[in-house]
Amino acid sequence: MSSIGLPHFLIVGAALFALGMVTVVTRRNAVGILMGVELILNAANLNFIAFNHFVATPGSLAGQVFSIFVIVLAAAEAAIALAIVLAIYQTFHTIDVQDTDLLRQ
Amino acid sequence: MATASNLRGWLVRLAVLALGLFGMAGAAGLHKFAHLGLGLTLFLEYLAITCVVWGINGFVLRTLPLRGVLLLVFSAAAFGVLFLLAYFLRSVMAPFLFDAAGRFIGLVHLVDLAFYLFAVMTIAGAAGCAFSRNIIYSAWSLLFAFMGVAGLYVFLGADFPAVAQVLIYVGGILVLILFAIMLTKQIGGDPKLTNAHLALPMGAALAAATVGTLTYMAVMAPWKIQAAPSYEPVSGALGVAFLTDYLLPFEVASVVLLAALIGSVIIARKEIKETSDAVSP
Amino acid sequence: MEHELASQNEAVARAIEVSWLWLIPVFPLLGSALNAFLGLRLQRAYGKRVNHAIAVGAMLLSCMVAEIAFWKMFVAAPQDRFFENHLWTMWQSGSLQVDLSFGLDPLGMMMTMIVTHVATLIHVYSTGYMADEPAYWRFFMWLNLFVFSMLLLVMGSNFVVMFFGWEGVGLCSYGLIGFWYEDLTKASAAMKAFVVNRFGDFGFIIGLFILFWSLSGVWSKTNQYLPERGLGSALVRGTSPEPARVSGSGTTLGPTLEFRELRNQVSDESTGMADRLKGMTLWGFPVLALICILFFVGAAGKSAQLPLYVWLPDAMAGPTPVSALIHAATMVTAGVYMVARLNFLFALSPPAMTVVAVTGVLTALFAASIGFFQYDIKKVLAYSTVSQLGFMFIGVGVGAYWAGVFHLMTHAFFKACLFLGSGSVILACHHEQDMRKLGGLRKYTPITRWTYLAACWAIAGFPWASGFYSKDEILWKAWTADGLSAPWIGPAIYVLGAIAALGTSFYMFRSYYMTFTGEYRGHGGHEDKERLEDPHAMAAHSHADAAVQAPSSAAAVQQVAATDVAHQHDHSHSASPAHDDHGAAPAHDDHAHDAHGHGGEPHESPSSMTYVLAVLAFAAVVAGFVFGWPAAWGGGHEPALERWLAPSLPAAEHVKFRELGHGTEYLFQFFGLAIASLGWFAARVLYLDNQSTAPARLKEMFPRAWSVVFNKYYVDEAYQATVVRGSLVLSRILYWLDQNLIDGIVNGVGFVGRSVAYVDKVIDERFVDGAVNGLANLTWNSGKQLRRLQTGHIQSYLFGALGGAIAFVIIQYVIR
Repeated sequence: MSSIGLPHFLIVGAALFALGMVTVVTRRNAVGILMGVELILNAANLNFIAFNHFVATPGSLAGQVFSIFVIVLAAAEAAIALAIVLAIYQTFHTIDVQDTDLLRQ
Repeated sequence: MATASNLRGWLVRLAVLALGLFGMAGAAGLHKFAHLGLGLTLFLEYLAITCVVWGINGFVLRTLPLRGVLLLVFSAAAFGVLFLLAYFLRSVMAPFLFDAAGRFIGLVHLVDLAFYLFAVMTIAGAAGCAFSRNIIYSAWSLLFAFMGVAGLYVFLGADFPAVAQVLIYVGGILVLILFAIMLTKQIGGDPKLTNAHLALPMGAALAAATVGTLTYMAVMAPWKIQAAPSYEPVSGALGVAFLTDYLLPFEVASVVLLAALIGSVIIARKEIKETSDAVSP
Repeated sequence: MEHELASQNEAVARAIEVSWLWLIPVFPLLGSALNAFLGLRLQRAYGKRVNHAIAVGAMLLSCMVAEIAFWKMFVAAPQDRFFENHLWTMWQSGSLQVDLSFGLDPLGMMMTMIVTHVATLIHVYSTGYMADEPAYWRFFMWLNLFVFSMLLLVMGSNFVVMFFGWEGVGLCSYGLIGFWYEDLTKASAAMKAFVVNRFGDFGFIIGLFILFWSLSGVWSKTNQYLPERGLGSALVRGTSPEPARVSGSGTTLGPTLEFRELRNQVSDESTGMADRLKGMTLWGFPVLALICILFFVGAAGKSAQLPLYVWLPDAMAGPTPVSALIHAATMVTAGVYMVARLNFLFALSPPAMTVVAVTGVLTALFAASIGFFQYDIKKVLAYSTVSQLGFMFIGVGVGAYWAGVFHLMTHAFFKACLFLGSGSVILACHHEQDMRKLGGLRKYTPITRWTYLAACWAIAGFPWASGFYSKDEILWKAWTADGLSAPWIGPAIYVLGAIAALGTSFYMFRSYYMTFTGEYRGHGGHEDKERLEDPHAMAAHSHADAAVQAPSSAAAVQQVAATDVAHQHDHSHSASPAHDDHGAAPAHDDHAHDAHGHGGEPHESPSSMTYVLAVLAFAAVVAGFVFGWPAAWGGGHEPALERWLAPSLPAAEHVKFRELGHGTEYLFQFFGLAIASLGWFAARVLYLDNQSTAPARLKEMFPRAWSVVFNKYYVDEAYQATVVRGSLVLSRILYWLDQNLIDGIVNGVGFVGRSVAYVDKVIDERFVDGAVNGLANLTWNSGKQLRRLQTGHIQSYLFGALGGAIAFVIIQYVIR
């Protein structure tokens, strides 16, 4: 009998989320920020599936369906975001987010 | 000539040493498997140790003139010491070690071990992604994080999401990210600049607070755990669900994907500049 | 009924408080302290006689008190012969109380008498022997301190006091072996003795720990002693009521270090302690055998048994009176004394007794065989001492405790006499110790010769001299022993012991004939060939203090002699008739050994030495039949010493011996006589007058065997190759660890300290200073900070949002 329960997965998810958040908040590289977003999405997915497994009524697959949609949207998001990164690079010749502070003016 | 006889003496010593070592093992084997009498075994062991002592005397304890009776006495002493040592190892140390090892193995389930393996792999990958100084290393760490999460999905009875995770994240998104890195020429050069951090201590503090809060919630919340989580295959059921209950979101998702496809092409396309100096020869 | 009462009384010994026992050891301590603090000044101001007056006076006083105690004990009834003197409590820990206390029972009384009297005689002898020594005060300081330590060892009523003495005699032995510490050989001999004794002491103290551990227990309601369950037991936590501390028969219970209480607990069967100890095991070993064997390891270190005997022959580097007192008569018998003292434990464990006896007989045989071919007279006596100690251990090992102790006593007399005789010879022949260069001394030193012969007579075991009685008693008991692990061990010990006795007789008479018969061979120069032949023997002449400290000592002696009227033992012959023959003595100090030839004729020693020799020779002859007249020879009762020691040796009654008739005993005594005669005859044939060439021819016939025995079976080399080299390697490893690990930890601690200091500094600068400066800058800074909120960096905004969310969640938890 395994002693691994829901809290274990939730803690792994929390760690994943926190690390992704750090990545997003502290990276100066736009691609790095994108990776952090992917980590956060993975953390959410893990929680979805964990809850689906441990808590949802038997036979329900809502959590897994949600996770599949998240994966789909993540793919789309990645494609768009990377395209934006390329566009920024063409404009500023850098993807350092510190230098792209037009919002300040 | 002298060297030749030295060499010969050396070889003889070596041969006797080998004979002694072989004899020690052989006598023990005979006692164990052929039920040789204890007295005879001890006698053989003593002879073998005498051989070993004589052999070693040529290399190590050269100041000792071990010959004749002295050799026998010294071997007897060595024999006694070895016997005591063996007794200690066999009757005192070995039971203790076996007992300790058995207790340790009994404490750990193999399944749990595998879970911890994946969890550590996930978190280590994520940490590598967050803190690595080179963005290429970050990308590779991300690979481990994704694979680890896929493994955790399997533990949760979600086979299809696991496979989708590997296919889409590892096969698609990660490759896309690597392309982006290469296209923006962010590899090479000063690695610190390529993947520099911004206020890392603040971020780490935020992360610590987040992890603490979420862990507290995860552990303390009274989750309504169902009695028997199922480990059935879910691919078929998922397909049915997408085409029945979730048909509209499914269609919307496909539209989103199409829009993203077109949109990214438009955004990332290189603008054709009218200036003439950019023309390459 | 009466008999039962008597035996019960014997099982439980009750002490009588005698308030003045502490005087016995305190006089030597005072003498030592006086000589230590004032000795040099006294020696300079008033001459050496003050130094030895202090030392000998202290010894005489100590002797006197000991004799009074002996008389008091002699007139008391046997069950009242346990004197104790509690001075104060050294420490108390739980139910254990350790006092500084002295105890005397018949065994301790006998040892005390031997120690004080032999030591007094040797002090007197030393005044003659050491007369030319510049550091006279230091010698007597050490000698007195030794007697004090030895008395602590003998009289200590518990293990702790005994251990003080045990270590103290080791220290004094170190100081006296290395008395001429300028000589590297002697200093390293001292160190060797000290280090080898540490091995033994390690065994002793581990044995003590295990004994103490196994004694802990509770006296339960069933009148049985039960083991506590380790440290977690209720008793240790203090929650259970204090168990009864006194058993029905009046034995005090609980952990103790007192010999008498331990003896009562073990030999009083109603406590069940003996059965419990017999049943206990530690790691599969019977705990009792383990304790006894570890104690015996300690005894083997102190009493120079296999394999720890190697220090004793080297200890002959010390002055000869020291060899006589410490390394023959008293200190080295401490191990035998301890085993006899703990007879009640050893008797419970046949394996331990067997180990003791077998080690004893092997040592006796081994050392005797080495003694055959030594040329240094003191080395012969040293190996003889090792061999005789082996005999004592046979005695205490087979359960004939009184016989072992009896041999201890007779050995103290005849071996002291032999050593002092050898010292007289050495002095007579100008510090020559090599017997090949002696010879013919009987006409120069008649008194020394006759006393030496009497002691040889005693040690070889001829009737009416003491050695015959003690050695035959030991071997007879070994033959009849029935309490050992196997029945054949006793006769085997007898056979080996008889061979060793044969060897004893041979080498003692060999030394006698080589030294005292024939022509004096000391006139020639040194044969370097002989020196080369004997690389391990101590250089014979290095014993002379002249060798190293010639320049300084000559000056010092002149200075001292100028103020020392009594010791102007120079050519004027004015001091006393005793110094008449001492004329050449001052030459020792300033002669170098190449000037050996001018030393002149050998001369008899001063009377302070010869009287002592005569007294000891007398004791060596008569002590045997006075104290050990065998029951088989008529008289109707057991030997006097056996009856005297009986209260101290409760276990002696329980050791089994086979009953054999008196006829058999006569036969064995005849065997002993025949063996002694055979050894004497062989020595006479080979060495009388140095005429026979047989020894040299024998040596040429068996060169290899001769060389192995002459080089003492290469034991020293084996130790050098294994233990010494191993220790050096270990020390190198530890040095490396020290350099890399310990220093690393230390540096790490230092780094932590610096870091803390740095943090402190930062706090100081930032917060303390900042509080002052910050107030002033607050307004200006707040405006600046507020302006910086608008950064344009989307990550800053994101950070704020996430941080705010988390803060809200945390606040929500906290408030709820």
